[in-house]
Amino acid sequence: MRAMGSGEHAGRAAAQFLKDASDIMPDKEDVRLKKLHARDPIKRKSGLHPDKVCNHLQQIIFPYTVSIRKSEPALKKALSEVEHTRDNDLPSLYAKDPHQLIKVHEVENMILVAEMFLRASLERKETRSDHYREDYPEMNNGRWLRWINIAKAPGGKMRLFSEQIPVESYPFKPEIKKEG
Amino acid sequence: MVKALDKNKCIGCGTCVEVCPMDVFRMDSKAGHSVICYLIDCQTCYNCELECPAGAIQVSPYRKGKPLPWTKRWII
Repeated sequence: MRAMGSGEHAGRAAAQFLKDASDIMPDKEDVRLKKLHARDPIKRKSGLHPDKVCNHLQQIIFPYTVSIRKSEPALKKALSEVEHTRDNDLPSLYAKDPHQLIKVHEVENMILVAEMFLRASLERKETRSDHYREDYPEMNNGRWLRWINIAKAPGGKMRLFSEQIPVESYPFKPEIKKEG
Repeated sequence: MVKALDKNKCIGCGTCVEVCPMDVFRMDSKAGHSVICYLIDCQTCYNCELECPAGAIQVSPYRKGKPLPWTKRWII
């Protein structure tokens, strides 16, 4: 339900951004490379079935200590496994037909989202809503009334940075306890 | 998951192909009706049954197919 709400919000924001943006012509070389990348898995003679990689990814993400009662060691272990899957399994995904090609790209996106989820979970050292950190069981409004943003850094790596939530414009303001 | 597609009722409009989010159906243009191609990927959303103008599709609430991550370990 939350994903549907976020999706609608993101879609509207993207449409508005494009409406307001000036005319941007696509980089032809970038388009050519993206087309090649999109069709790579169907050109391979053999490789990994996307369902297998999807199932493996679910086994990494679903455990209780990763998705529900999070802890730093479990999150770090899961992150290293996701990185291993990204580096070793992604390049050998194979699609025998266009239907499987859809799945290959879905798995690629799922791996990206899993990495974002794990990195953001490690970054937020507090407990808030359904983000429950076993090692930081208290909500910390003084430090973490912030959004965690993820951007693509040069080299394709993820860069995390936080942004203050504009609570002053909210009708209901959260209580901030003074430390000490 | 999709239980049955009645080829005699299907009018070949392609609605099921359009609305299925999991790409389960394909159109057999020679035969003039749609066919269930990837049944294992059906997520039992009922879109096809609800949208089919000819009432040719029946979806069952029971799902079987892919092993779930907590029941079977894939070997990669």
